[in-house]
Amino acid sequence: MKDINWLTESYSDYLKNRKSNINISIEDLLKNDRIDEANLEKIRLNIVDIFSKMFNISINNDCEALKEKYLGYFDRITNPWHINKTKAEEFKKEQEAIIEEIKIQEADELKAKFIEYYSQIEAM
Amino acid sequence: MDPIKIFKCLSDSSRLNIINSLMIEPMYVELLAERLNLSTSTVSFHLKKLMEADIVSSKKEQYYTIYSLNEDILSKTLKDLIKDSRNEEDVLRQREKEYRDKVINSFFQYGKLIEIPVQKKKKQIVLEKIVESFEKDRDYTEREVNLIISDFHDDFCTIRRDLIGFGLMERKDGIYRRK
Repeated sequence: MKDINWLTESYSDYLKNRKSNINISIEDLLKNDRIDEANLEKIRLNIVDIFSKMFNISINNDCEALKEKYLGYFDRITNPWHINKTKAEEFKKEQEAIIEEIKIQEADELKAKFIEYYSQIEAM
Repeated sequence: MDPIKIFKCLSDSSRLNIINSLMIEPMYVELLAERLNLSTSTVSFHLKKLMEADIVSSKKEQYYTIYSLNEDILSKTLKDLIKDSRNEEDVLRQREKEYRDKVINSFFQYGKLIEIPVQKKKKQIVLEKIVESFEKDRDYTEREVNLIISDFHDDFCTIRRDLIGFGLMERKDGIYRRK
């Protein structure tokens, strides 16, 4: 049965797998002398780390409370990234804009995955 | 031409792949991304670095920005690249410029001054950057000066006083002028 425990376990596993896949990708990129891309992947890894910690402190027996708290972090944490990205574009700082975009993309992916898992218990 | 920048830029296999693709023909980001199986943001990131090293240049063509190789740099021999033909004065000027750019990049973010430097030399550079916002041969009231400085930093009083103290502006009867 898909309940709050299932959600916590499945999403935690997803985050763990995501981290491990990014770590593998970093190793591959470094092996192939693609240092800058490895550094961009490290940024992704850092984002997964941040939201893994946020998920751990959001864990609650109440589904609704967990959802509200965890999704709230996405808005609060990513807001400055959106502002920085706009400013970087405005000031023609393309590299900074790309980095902010990567952070936003990764956060959006983690958020979408959480919503996907959550909808499965909601549908029960 | 900065040889260190060029060599650093070339020491990445994805950037070498981009150069190889551009040797075939000039291309836009999306096409490079597709051919090299990289994301468009990654390709843009590398192209920016290649442009900074003067290896690649870009031009707008209708909806796309087309990137091509700078043949002047690429046709040089390794010897040409390594040989430093600058005189001592040029080297010093270049070093000074790099230091200035570094200070500006670390103290300003998106046009805002992050903090007022404590070190005198750094403060001078930051103030010189701020004073560029004032026109020469024009009188400014204190209010106007404060407004211009506050675009950079909230502590406009300290900066206004420093601009006078560092001799970048002068004040007479409450009127300010850029020196």
